[in-house]
Amino acid sequence: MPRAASALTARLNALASPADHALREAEIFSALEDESPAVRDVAIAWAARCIEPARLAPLVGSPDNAVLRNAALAALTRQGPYAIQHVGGMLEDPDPDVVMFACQILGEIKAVECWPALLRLLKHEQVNVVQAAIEALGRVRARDAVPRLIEILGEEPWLQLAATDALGEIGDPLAAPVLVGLVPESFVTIPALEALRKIGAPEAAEPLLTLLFRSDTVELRSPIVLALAASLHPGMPLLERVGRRIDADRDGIWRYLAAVLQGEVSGEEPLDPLNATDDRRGTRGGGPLVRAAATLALSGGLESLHPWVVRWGVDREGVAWLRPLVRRFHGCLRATLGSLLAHPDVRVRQGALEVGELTLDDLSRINGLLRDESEQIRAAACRALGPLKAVEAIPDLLQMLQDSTGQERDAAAAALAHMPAQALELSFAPFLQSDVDEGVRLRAVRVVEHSGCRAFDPEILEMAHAESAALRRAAFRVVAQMDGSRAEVALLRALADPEESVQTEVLDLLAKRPGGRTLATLLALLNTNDSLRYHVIRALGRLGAAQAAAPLQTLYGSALLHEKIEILAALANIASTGTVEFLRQRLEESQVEIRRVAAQGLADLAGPSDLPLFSALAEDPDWAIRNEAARALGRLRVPERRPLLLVLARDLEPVVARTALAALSGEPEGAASAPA
Amino acid sequence: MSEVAEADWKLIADFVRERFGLSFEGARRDILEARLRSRLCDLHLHTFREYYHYLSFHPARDAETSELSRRITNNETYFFREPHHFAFILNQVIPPLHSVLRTRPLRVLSAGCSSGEEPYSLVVNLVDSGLELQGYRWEIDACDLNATRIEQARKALYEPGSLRVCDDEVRQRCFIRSGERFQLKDRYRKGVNFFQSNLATPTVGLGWAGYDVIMCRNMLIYFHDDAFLSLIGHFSRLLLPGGYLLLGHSESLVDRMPAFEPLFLNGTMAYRRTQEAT
Repeated sequence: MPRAASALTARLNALASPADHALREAEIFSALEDESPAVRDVAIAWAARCIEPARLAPLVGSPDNAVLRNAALAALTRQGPYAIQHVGGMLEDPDPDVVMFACQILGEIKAVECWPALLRLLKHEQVNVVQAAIEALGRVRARDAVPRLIEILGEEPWLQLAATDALGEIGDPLAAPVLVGLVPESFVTIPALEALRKIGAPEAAEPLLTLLFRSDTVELRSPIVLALAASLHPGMPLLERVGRRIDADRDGIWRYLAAVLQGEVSGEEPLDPLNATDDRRGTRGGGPLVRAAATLALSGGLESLHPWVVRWGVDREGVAWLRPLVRRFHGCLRATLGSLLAHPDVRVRQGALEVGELTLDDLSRINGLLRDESEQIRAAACRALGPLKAVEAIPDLLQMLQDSTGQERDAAAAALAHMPAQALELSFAPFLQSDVDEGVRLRAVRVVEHSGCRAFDPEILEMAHAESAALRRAAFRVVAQMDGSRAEVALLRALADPEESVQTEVLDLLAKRPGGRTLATLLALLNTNDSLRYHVIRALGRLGAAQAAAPLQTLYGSALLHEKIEILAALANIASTGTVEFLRQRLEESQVEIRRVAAQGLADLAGPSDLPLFSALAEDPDWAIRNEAARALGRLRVPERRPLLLVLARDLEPVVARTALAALSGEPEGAASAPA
Repeated sequence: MSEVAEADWKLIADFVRERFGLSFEGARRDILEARLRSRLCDLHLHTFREYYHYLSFHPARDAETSELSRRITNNETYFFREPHHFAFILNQVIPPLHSVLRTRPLRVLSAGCSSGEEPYSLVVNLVDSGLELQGYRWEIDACDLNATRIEQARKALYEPGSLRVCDDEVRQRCFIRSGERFQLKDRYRKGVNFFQSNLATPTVGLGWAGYDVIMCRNMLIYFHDDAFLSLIGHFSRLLLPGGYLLLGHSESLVDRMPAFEPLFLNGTMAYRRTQEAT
């Protein structure tokens, strides 16, 4: 190991090794100003965990050592609710720097209870303190601060900027008219528009529309469009005027929106560059500006822009935002749907099929698209027919199920699965026959499964003996829907299927279908010593039958490790008498994973009398067990849990700290530390 | 926001990090989740914690770890991606080595080669430059964590997407159409040796100071810091003094590793192993 790395490891180990309190504290303080950021990061975590806020606070006021001060700030922030009371007291410090840093910490912690003290600081003589207090009020979303923050919008520029951001964070519509007044001439034009976007107040829409037509640069138009789109809501009388005005300005705003919708305006937030191929980086799905432009085009009835809007609906990312948008402005595509479905651009046709609010009135057009030259369109047309339950289309869909391939066949099957069971009864039987291609049969069984059609039970029971394991698995999923002992017997017999994947599938199905002989059969299978037993244990856990608890506990002693883990998880799910004690005993075992699963089960079953147990588990060396302690304490609504959670909220492992913080945030406000 | 419990996610993420040196934090978390969800479904498992237990304790855990490696490294690439690196090898790396390459082959390591597009692209460039006719030889070692990808590389049969930047002339000259796919011609497969290897914990002996060039492009972005530094250290030992390391356009060693000297030549960033590095 290189010498530098070795020294680093030694310094980190010194922090983690047990030592007496004073020595450890000295090590931590020294490491807080270590030259290596890696050592400082670890020291900050230890400082948050082990050093009282009162000992860290003086470092915040040390102007000569910025490294130490920043480390102390980070440690206090990491202490979260534990530090609030002390940091709240720092707001009264005579040193304005200390007050400023205290504001920053309280904002980071989101110390809601400190808002009155922060509000008082808006009258502080030091502008830096006022700015920090404004930012903190924004972070804690203090609505009571809004009137004063609005007043500050008329004061000096840096405070204007902070107040604008804070008003956006708070999101109170009261601020909207004043923020609109800051556009376009003021120093805070862009932040004000960003704040208006966050607020999304309807009363800002009209003035923003006016501003949009006065704007002549992309730099200003884009944030206005974002803010305006957020301010538009269904049913607003203004919507019609938005569309009319933009439509009349073909060389101006209309052209700009068209460019945005065609992906030609920069400023989009890039999507994950790792997941995008080079040539499409940042364009998949459409970013916030595209979505805002689409909102204007749809809500304002800008029909000429609709082709470019729906074109974003050709991939999953686009459909995910565009379909809800179309539904939000219900009926917005109705007037143009016919022309969109007949559009020469294949992407427009597909997008219209994917996101348009199609009804049975559109059936003839959709049926026509089943014969489109593009496979994409034919598949999209199938997908559109399903939710309409258009029984008239069944013959075409059956034809496609039989003759097509790939996504088209899948889409036809998906559409048929939506059809009423009675409509399938007349024509579906030939697709389940043994001489039909396996791919077709497999999809046909899935149709029967999803439609709940019972007319083909004999064919399905026959298929449960098919040569193909995939077909048998699919058939058993339908068998599990059938009533009666015949179906149960078929499923139980399938536990002896030569294919393990079929056995596993059937166990899953049986676990969801308790009754009859299922439990007895599964309990008998516990005596087999093969790979199926693992799945049987899991199935018994999901069944939740109390009769399974004792056999599972008996098996535990001779089971393999992976089975033991499942037995403990199953017992926790069954939750019978004696489970808690059995799980408690497992905490004494040496294998850490057994202790983890036992702790998880105990956390699920925790009651108020278990507080001492979780108090002990909160100090366990294993992070996952401390996390279970935090989770359990979150469920125990007893006041004694708070000190334990405050310790766990400063845990070195961030997952544990977050679990504890989530538990604390569920407490009523009065339970939090009192402000200074 | 993900619905996977934080602790469950940490168990899986730590497992992936320890076994493969790969990090899927931040925005990449969704990628890993999406890639694993269908696997959970196949195994009839319901939570990521159950999958962690399966990977750690089930008798089929070794096979499942291999399956996991296939799923998390399933990264698409294509022929002649970042072509300036191939030009760099032809114009900057080879000329100063002319006398040496009379006595031994040019040695290149393609680390994280996926299904072989990168090493084969280099061979196409080397063949087309006429070096073979001048008597030069090359040995290209190409490795990837994903065994399925290595098998695909050995077959050299490609989907059209792998040829997305190849024009008709290149398609006809270098490939033979095979239905919807393209078979790379034998003459462009010479001198490439594929093998499966986990670069985070390499078990295949690659020798010391043996390579003139290491290409490791668009892979380090998935490595967490410790694994990143360890791997670059490993590369510094594998390269000959003065050898070159070529990274992807979004990856950088500047100010991170004294063993490498950054060079910016004709628009290409490369890292040259310093003479002192060991």
